[in-house]
Amino acid sequence: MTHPSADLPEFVAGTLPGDRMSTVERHLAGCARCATDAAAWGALSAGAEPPGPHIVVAALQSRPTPLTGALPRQSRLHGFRWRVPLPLARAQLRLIPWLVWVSPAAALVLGGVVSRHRPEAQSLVLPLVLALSIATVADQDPAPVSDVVRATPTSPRAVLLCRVLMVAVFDLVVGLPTAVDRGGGLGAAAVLAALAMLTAVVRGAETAAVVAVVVWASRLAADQDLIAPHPVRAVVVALWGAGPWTFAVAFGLAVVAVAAAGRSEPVRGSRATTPV
Amino acid sequence: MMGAMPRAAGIEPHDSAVLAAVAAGDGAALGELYRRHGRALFGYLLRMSGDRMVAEEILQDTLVAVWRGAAGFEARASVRTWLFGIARRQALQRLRKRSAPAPAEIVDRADAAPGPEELAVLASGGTAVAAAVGRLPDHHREVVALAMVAGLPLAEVAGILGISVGTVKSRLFNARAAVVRLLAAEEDR
Repeated sequence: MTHPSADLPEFVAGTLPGDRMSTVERHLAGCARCATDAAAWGALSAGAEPPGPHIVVAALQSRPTPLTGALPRQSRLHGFRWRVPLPLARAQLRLIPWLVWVSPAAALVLGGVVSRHRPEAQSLVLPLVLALSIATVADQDPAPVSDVVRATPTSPRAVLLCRVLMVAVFDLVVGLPTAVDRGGGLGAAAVLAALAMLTAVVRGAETAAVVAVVVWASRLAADQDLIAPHPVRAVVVALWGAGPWTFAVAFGLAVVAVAAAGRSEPVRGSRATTPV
Repeated sequence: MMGAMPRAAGIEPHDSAVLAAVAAGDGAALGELYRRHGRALFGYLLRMSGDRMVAEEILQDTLVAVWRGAAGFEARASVRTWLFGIARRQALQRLRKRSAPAPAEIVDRADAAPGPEELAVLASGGTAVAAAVGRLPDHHREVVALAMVAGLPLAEVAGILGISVGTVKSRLFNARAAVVRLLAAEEDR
């Protein structure tokens, strides 16, 4: 006799298609072993009698005011746009380590000083600094950021955007005034930053930093005529120009990064069972 | 019993209306939401944590998060999917903390208590299958908890976990095979 073991869970959950449902039913009537199995799967939910309504009362008492609703009605209209982004930005500001602000600022100030003598210096420094700082804040793994994100209903995508925007604006404000070739520098910075963001989301900050440095080096090599085959060089140069394509590529990479931020596999703890 | 939760599609519009009332600060609406989905949520959390006390704590944290975050519901998914998403975040956060070294008081109590296997069986509802499910890796236990205990359709399980329905099916299949192996190993001893 073949036992329909594979169909038992769906049978118990009631999700098995009708014809297979009746096949399993007939089998269970004559097979004590499978009937026991089915009862065992059913018992999975049998002990799960939920707590009574007191748990709702406890939840309401632990935090008496919801984030919205308790606020006066008129602030709902006037404050709506800022009520989510501002507290989010403030909270993220507390979570971003101070080194993420200080080291890019130092590099950019230095770049500004050097570009008094070598005008193109800042246009070379800014994209790399921007990419490296974005790689640091776009990493989805480090505690406590990931813990906080998982503990709140705020979308991880919103958190990612908020962190990246804050760092990008900061770096551009510090670095852009001293960059000569602002259009070219900005296009290159956008592509490199978006690439670093995507890599950081998918593979972590370290990988993103390596990718950013290698890719940036390829551009410098093309600039210096170090890439021999001419067509390859032409592609590299075209990609780094400040044309609409450059920004389109950057935008596309950023969109993919944001989309990827919301799709993470379940986190696996080091222990699968209950601590006993 | 499985499927005690109403699953008809007709109930969903009411859910979003109830959630809107929660967002407006109506505590009774939170109670109504709990009446509708509490059983499925608790079943899921109980299987995920393997411990009734922990599951109740995570459930309460979930309700607090729902109460505070109801206005953030964007109707991209059903209310139930959204609720399970919040419960899952709370559970992952709590269960990750737990993989730190066990606190001393648990070690103290273990002296007079029965052996670990026996306790695992008790903690997971007293059945060998539940105990075996409790020993599965997190990603397998999670699909079992969502599909078998909470009784969600596989498409919704896929939505909550952010994976494809095919992956849900293969994980369920592997989880089942692992449970059977665990039970067989238990019988052999």
